[in-house]
Amino acid sequence: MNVKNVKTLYKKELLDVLRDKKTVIMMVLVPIILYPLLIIISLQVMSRISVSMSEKTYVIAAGSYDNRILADILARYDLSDYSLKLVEIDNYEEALANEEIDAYITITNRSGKQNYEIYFISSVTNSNYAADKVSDFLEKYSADITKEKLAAAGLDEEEILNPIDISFNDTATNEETAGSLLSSILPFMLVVSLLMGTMYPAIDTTAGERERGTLETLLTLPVTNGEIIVSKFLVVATIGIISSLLNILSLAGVGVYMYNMTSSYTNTSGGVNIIKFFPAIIVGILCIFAFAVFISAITMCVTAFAKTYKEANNYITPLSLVVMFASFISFIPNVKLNDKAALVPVTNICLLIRDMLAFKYDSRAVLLVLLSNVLYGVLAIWILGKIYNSESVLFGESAAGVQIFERRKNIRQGGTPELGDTVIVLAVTMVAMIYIGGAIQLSLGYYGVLGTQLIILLIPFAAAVYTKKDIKKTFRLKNCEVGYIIGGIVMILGAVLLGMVLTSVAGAIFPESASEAGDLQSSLLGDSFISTLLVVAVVPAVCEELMFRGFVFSSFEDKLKPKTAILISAALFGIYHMSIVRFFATAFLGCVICYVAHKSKSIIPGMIMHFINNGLSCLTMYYPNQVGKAFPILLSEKLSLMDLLILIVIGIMLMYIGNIVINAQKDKKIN
Amino acid sequence: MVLEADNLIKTFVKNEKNNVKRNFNAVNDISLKLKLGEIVGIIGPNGAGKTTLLRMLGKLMKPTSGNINVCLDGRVMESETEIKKYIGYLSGNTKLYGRLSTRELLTMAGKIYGMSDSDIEKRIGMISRVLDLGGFIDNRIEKLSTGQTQRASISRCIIHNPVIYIFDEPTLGLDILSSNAIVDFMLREKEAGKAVLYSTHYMEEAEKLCDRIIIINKGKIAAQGTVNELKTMGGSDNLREVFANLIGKEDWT
Repeated sequence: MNVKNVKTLYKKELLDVLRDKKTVIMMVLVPIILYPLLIIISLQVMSRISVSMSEKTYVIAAGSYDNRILADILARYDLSDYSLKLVEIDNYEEALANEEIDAYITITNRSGKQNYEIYFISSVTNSNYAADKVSDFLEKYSADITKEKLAAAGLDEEEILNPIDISFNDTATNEETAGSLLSSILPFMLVVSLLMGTMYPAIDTTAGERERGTLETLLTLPVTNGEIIVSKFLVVATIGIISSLLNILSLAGVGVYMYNMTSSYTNTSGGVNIIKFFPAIIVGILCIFAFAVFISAITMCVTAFAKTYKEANNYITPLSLVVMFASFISFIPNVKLNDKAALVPVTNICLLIRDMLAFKYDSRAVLLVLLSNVLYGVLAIWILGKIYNSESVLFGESAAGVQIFERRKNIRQGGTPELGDTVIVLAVTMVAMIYIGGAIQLSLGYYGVLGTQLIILLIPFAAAVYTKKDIKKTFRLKNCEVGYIIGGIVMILGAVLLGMVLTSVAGAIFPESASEAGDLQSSLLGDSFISTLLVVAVVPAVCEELMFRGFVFSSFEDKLKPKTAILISAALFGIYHMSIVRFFATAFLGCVICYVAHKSKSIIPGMIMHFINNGLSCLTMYYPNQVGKAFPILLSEKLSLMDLLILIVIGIMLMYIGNIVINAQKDKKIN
Repeated sequence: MVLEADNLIKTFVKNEKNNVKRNFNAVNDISLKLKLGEIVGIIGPNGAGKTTLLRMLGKLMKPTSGNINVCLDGRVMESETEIKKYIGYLSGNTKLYGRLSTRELLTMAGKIYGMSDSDIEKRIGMISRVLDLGGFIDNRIEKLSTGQTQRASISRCIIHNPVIYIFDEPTLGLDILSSNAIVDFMLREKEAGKAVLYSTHYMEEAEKLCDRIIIINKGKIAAQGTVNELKTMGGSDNLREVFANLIGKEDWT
């Protein structure tokens, strides 16, 4: 990648985008003028309403007989204190329904106790207020009666009615109060402003450029795909950062304005010491940058595949909904920023800012959140660069095809699944696994676990049948040379050892998640070795292989370069296992099995490799003593540096030998 | 030989009615050569594969199979970005950035071609005189007239002083003055020893300009040679009739 070219393209794109009225309006006018204006106008309207409400008098009535009693009571008080007015009316029920009166009262005398019933209409605002006012007034009346009775009995009313005094003392500093106020709005504001800020430049530089026909001109220049994408990405991120900073500055301006307005008549003591917010401000700015990287990459991933401005707009809408929903999660009080939450995009940024404003500093969480955002962003751009091949975008049909929603008779027979279909199938499977799988595991136990595996098999199979894919090719249902199986077995043994190293390193980085690595010891897994082996090793080896090395990898392998296809499907395999600690080991395992599947073009070696890997952990679970005697290293709680080195050396040797065996197969075929 | 293409094939997946997909070769095994100091015309009916062929030769599109060699001063160029530095590509599809001015566009392009700032300035001055851009070079391109836009387009593709020109129907839809300017430009560059490859629908223009003509149909070369050779082959003195005879009348309609 030529940095000079990226710089030149960046300048060009930035100039181009900044001269677009839509971007400028979204970036400057909305935050600087529209937001403050809206807030100030709504404040004015609110104060106008509260003034008019305090001036309003509510009309009440009572039954013809009750009216007299009520009038007597009311006569003892100044009604204007309660904004109430009593009227004589014959049909009070009808009057209430017609909103001629706001509420009415009936009084009954039941065994010495007076029972006041207030009738109102909860769906009418004024009637609600009137009922409240009447209730306030009656409470005062009741208190007064009590006082009179106590006085008549010669008792000290103060001592009996208020035996203890309660007072509240807020020990929160002004800064803490301000922080908690800010934390309810700032994270959401930041996420939304960055999303809004990146949306238009993302559409403009991808779908917009395509629609205007300038992409072909750009391609006549000696620039690479990577340079084009990186420069566009940098422009989108820049605009996002500028618009987000403008948003926050304008929010701060409005905040100061409101503070001045309220303090002029409430006279709150002491100011807020801005210096205390410095760490939060610095982390906030870093967050803006990290999140800008992430959100620009994601919006570009979505818009890059649209042919027109309009189509891109349609794609952006669901994305914004998901992003906003993820940022809402941080409003839930009990959600804490632990290692797992720190890796959830969008939510992690919101939680981090919330914590910073509450003066909870955790450098580890800060680092995790910032790094994960940058990492996801870079990953997204990398994938975009691989898939967003300028040629297919410019001249061809859209790259990420989706056939699932098409009528079946219109789909052509054969081939492997389209990329878009694969992404949808993966998402649906994950959701089905979590909800349906979770439910049947709760109710059916052991058979529920088996059922969950069936889901993993059935969904991709149904999708492949519906889209008329070549089942044999998609699921790699094909015999293979014995050599691939032998090589695969040797390789997987090495991979298991290296996987242990990865898990142990990941466990050291994420100590609080380390315990989850041992979740195999669950009562769901059957009661004998054989039944456990079936559910832990045999069934997953068949179902997960058909899904990941079959459906997913075949789809990627057909459309991407082999290396890219292996890495992406392996990463998805790692994510599917939903454990931070085991992610690296499972992704690595996925890489190795994908590699063998790629070489052998058959599902069989992968199934055997998967079975061996899962079977080994099953074996150590049931026969720890025997395994421990033979290979003490496999069971040691904590691996020493020496252990790790031994594992790495043996692991790499086994992988190397296995690879030689596998590649020998290829040579044999050619000869 | 400055440009040589061997056995180019480009396969597309075509989306037909009802979303049925079908593979077809837009360019099906075409080989051609281009010398310095000659103008070669590519003619053929719509959908014959002219644009796809020129896009591959301009390195905007990768061939499914086949090789393209660019050789200058005895040096064979390998990398796509290096080859692009010697090619000026222009087509009806190479639209300009409407929100930039011609000068900004030329400066940007010049920088990417690896020219120094002073070289770019000199070259812009020269081009501006030749193509008479002076009046509008600092205006936004979206504000220019069709003729002015066409001149800005040409200036864009010659900023790096290329050796090979690839023009895809450069005179399509232009008035006589504008298309004359382009024809004159191609002749001038030929005199200056550059190679020009261009596609057109206008037979008279091709007859007047081209040293050689390649007729393509359905992704294959139907016939090639000088204008006179083609006339002998086609058995007529009128290039239109020659064209119709050579590719078969049913394809012409």
